[in-house]
Amino acid sequence: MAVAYTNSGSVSPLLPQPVANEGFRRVWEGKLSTPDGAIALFHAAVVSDPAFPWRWSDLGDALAAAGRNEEAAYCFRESLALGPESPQIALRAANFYFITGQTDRALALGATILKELPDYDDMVFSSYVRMDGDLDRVLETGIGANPRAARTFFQFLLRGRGEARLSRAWGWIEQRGYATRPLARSWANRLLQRNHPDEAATVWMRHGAGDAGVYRISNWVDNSGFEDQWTGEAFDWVAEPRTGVKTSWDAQVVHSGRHSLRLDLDAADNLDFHHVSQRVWLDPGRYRLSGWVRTSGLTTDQGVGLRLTGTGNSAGPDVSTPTATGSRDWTRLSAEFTLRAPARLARVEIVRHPSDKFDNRPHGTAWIDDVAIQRLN
Amino acid sequence: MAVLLPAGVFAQQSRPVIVGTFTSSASVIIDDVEMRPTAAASWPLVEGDEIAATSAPALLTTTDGNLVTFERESKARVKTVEGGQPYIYVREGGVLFETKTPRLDICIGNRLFIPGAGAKGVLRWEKSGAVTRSMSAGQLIEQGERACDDQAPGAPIPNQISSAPGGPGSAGGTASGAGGPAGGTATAPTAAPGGGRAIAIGAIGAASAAAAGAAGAFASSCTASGGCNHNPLSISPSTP
Repeated sequence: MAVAYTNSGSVSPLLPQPVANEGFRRVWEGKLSTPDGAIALFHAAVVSDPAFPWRWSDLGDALAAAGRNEEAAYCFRESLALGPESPQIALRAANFYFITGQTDRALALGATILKELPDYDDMVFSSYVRMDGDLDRVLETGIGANPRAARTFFQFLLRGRGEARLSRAWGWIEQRGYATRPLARSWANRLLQRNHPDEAATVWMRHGAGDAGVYRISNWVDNSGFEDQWTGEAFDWVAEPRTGVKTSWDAQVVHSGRHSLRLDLDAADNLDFHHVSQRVWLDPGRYRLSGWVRTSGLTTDQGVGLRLTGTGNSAGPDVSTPTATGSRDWTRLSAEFTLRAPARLARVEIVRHPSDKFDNRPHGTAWIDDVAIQRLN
Repeated sequence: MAVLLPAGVFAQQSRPVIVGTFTSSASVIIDDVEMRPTAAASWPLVEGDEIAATSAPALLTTTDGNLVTFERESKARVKTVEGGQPYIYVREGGVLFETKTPRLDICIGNRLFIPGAGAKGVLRWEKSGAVTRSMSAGQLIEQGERACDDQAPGAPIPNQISSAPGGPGSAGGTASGAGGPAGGTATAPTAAPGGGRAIAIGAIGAASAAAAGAAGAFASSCTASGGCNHNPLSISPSTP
């Protein structure tokens, strides 16, 4: 082996790191097993500093690249023994175990890395998804009793990798009690995008609802009292911008609780407003749509009310409550309807319909609170 | 009674085919995930991976020891063909290759290149759309335009061009589907039906100064006489 141990004119051993650097140069030249190749240099670095785990990992990588897997395995065992807390050492060993088909060992190392620090999450998850197709094994061995890692792994899958695995991963997360509201909402959004509204509604009910314990039990509208600022997610309120209408979250005027929805109308046209809405998943049955509305100086003959309508191209219900206009204290508006089979996705809207009158540009304020769809049978 | 399972079930359970390892002094991207050199010195690659070099060249070492160095910002998909032979579909940029075995297919600009054992050279997809190449050792067989895509190399076609190191001043040629730089364009010769015809690119494109210039990205690291230098590393990626 030809390693020049010269430094500053005197004969002395080079530090192990420069020797290792030279080893990496040999890797790039494809010289692994030659007398002056990477393996020889990494070996020299190990001899110089056998207590440093990185040296063993370097040698292990080079031996593995040369197909000398048994010797490489020895090196990685040494590196792990010397650096049991190092995520880098664990990651390099895990890569070796993945390559050589020792998947359980790789996943177990991945699990320790995930416990140590979150910075490597995506790199570890990428290896999981790419190197091992067995999701159950990944979840049990590679994630295990680590709720944080379970949630970030699910978010990793949600970002588009391993689409087919999402349902199974969610089931595992739910079973382990790792589900959170933000995670459930993200999953419900994805399910809606994938046209699975029934599953989305169930996920929302179990883990995503603002009105937990009420939603889809006694009221099929979530965040019914606008107590939480709406997010626009799957089964929360969506507020789209509309010229001539200012939509806000009001803590001053409420029917119950601490907030209501406030609409300030100053329209320059005959307003057709349906821009605050919420998706609802309804099983067949008889229901009552209701809500409380208060108005102040709301002009024209068309007031503010509620409407239930189908979504997209699906033929759905079309039910409207009476409306409130002028200046009125809190008034309950309601309408009953029957939904025939099958179950379907619908949308409850806060509406102001266009007027047929000459004076048709509405001004004034309306508050809406405690919107409900309740089952009557 | 036979129980039929969807193919996907088996696909999910089977062990992926390892293509090689990927390393760089800078981050590399594998399937949209940034893999940092501070975390590991090299990353295993499996069949189907989408890979990219970032701010530094990145080295793909195949399982049988062939080297493919990706120019920085280059992108590719790695696959395997029959017998687990690596197949690299270059989406952007260029590659240096240095082979020990003839088991490597490179598709770049929809042109399939098959380096022989002991081949060293450069293939680059220019922004103009032309594919340029520069050989310093061994042979490179080209199977022509539309011979490959991101899934697999196409069926072998008879019109093959074989490149070898040219004489002094002719480090290679330019293969261009339509209107490449003058003087360096290699076009497939008409072949007799049923028979491949190999010619040396030096013979038809010896004056391809354009190719030498086009390979400029690697000109300093891959020469006709001195072989290729795959070593842009100045630090060890394993440095903690």
